[in-house]
Amino acid sequence: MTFRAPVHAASIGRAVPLPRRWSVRAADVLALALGNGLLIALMWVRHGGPDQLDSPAGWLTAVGQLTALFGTYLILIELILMSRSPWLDQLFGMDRLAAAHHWIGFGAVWLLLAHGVTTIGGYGLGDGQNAIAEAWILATTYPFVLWAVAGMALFGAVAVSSIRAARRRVSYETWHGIHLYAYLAVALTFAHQLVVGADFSDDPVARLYWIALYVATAGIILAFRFGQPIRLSLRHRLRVANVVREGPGVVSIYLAGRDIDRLAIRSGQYLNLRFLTRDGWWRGHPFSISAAPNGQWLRVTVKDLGDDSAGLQRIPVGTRVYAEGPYGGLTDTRRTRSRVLLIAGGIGITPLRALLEELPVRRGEMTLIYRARRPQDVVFRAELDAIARLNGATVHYLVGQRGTPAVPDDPLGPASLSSLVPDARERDVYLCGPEPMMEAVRRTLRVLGVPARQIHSERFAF
Amino acid sequence: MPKRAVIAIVTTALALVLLLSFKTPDSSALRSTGNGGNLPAATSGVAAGTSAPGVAAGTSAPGVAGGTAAPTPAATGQATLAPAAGGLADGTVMGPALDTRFGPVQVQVTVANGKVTDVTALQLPFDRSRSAQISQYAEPILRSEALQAQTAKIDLVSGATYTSDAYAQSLQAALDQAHA
Repeated sequence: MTFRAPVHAASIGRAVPLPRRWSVRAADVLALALGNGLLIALMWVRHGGPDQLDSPAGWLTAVGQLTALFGTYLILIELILMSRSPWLDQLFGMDRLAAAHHWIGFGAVWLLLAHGVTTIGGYGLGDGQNAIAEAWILATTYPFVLWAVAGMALFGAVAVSSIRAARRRVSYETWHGIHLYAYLAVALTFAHQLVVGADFSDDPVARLYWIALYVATAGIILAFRFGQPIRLSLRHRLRVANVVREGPGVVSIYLAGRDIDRLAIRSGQYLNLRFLTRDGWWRGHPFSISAAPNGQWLRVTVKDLGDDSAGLQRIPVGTRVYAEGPYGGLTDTRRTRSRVLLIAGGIGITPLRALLEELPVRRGEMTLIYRARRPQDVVFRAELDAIARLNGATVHYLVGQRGTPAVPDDPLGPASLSSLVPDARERDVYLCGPEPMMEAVRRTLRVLGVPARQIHSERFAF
Repeated sequence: MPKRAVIAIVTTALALVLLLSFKTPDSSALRSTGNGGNLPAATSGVAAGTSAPGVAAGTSAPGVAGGTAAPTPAATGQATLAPAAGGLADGTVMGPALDTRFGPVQVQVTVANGKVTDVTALQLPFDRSRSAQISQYAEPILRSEALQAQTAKIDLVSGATYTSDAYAQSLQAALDQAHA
C-alpha cells in the first residue's frame, strides 16, 4: 500500500474527528498550583515551623524545611509540566511549558541544594558539630538520607547538563538520557521526607496529603506519557506506507493504519514519532503533519538536519511507528480574525502547508509568505499552488539570498511585509521557521502593530 | 540503542543495588546506644532499674520504694525521703512526665547529704531521628547545668528549647518534692 498526495489535496473531504477541547482555563491551573503552595505553607506554620525562629540554628533549620517543601513541590510541578497533559498543551503549548520547565527546574534544584546546606548548618549549629561532621551524621545515621543525597546529586547533574553552555556540547540524546535520571532522583528523595521530615513524621494527615501529591503526579505522567500513546498505537497500528522525496534532503513519510479516519488530529499539530527500527525505536522526534488529515493517511515531512533525521531519508516502507500526540496549538482554534497570514521559513512550511489546506477562509482572505534560501529548498510548490487556486489564497515565494533582485534586503522586515500584506493588522498570523527568523518576524509584526494575541507560533525545541 | 546507553543503565542498576542495601541504624538502636549509653547511670538502685527512657514512665512506685536506706518508709510512693541539712531529703525523686511537641520529658533526681548528686533523664523525645539527635546532645549539658546550679534555674540549650524547658520544669517539681 503506497500513497502519494494528490496535487489537488484540498479537494479531499475531511473525514477525521477533531481532538477534544477541554474547558479548563489557565486561571484554574494557576489557582490549583498556588492553592497547593499556600496549603504547604500553612501546614508548615501549623506544625510549629515559625516557633523555631528563636535561635540561629532554628532559623537555619526552618529555612531548610521551607526550601525542602517548596523545592519538592516545584519538582512535582516540573514533572507535570512535561507530562504531555493535553490540558496544559491546549492552554500553554508544549514550547512554553518546556521553557517554564527549564527555569522552574533551576529554581527547584537551587532550593533543594539550599535545603541540604541549611539543614546541615542548622543541625550542626544545634549539635555543636562542624558542617562535615554533621553532614556525615545526617547521611549515615538518619534513615534514607543517604538515598536523598544520591538523589540530590542526580538532580544536580540534570541541572548542570541543562545549562546552556553544557547543553550545546552534548547531543540531544545524551542530555535527554541524563534528564531521565530525574525520575530516579524523585524516587530516591521521597522516603527521607516521610521519615525524617518534621512535617510528615508525626502527622498522618500531612503525610497522606504529601503522598497524594506524588500519586496524582505519577498518575498524570502514566496516563499521558504512557497510557495515551500506547492506546493510540495499539488502536491504529501506524506504519510507514510510503516515502517520497520532496527535494534535496527532504522526504515526506506517509503513515497509514487501522481506523486512521478515527485518529483525531488538526492541521498545525504534530506527533512525536518513534520509528520502530533497530536503531530508531529508542528516540522520538516531533513532526508536524504536512497535509490536512484526510482519513486515509497522515503525512509528515522531514528535512535531513545532519542528526538521525538523516536515517529517516531511507526508512523502509512497512516500518511500524509508535506515535505520541497529537500535540500543539498552532491550529484553527487560535483564530481570532477572518483573515489569515501564514509565514513560513524553510522546512517550517510543514504545519503551514496543512493549515493552508484546512483553515476555513473566504477567497482572498489567506496569504502565505514562504521564505527559503535556495530555490531547491522550496518544497510542496505544486501542492501550494494547487491549494491556492482552489481556496483563493495568495502565495508569495521569497527565494534567494538577501539583496538579490528577487529578494529585498530585509525580506521579512516591515517595509517588505507591509507591501506584500498591507492589512497585516487585521489578520491572524501563523508563524513557523527557524528561531532567529521567527524572532525577526515577531519584531516586524510588532512594528506593524499586529496585536500579540493574533500572532501564533510554536517552537519545536525540546 | 547505543552501547553507551546500555552501559549507563547497567551501571545505574549496580549503583542502585549498592545504595539500597545501605542500612542506617534504625531508631530503636539509636535509642539504646544514643541514650542508654550516654545517660549517666544513677547511683541508687532506682535509676538503675529504670534507666531505659520511654519505659520508665508509669512504672515508678515499686522500683523506687525499694531504693535507698531511708529511715521512713516510702511516703508518697514516688520517692524515698530522708531529711538532711540542705533542706533536701536524701533519696531519689521522680519528676512528672511533661509532654512537649516532640515527646515526653521526665527526670529523676538523686539527693545525698542534702545535695543533688545526680539527675537522670528517664524520658526524652525520641519520636524521630532528629529528636533523638537533639536529646542525645542536650541531655549531658542539661544534667551538668543542673548539678552545678543545684536548682532548676538552668540555661536553655539552644536548638533544644522545648526539651530544656520541660527538663527544667520536671526537675523543679522533683526538687519541690524533695523539699517537702
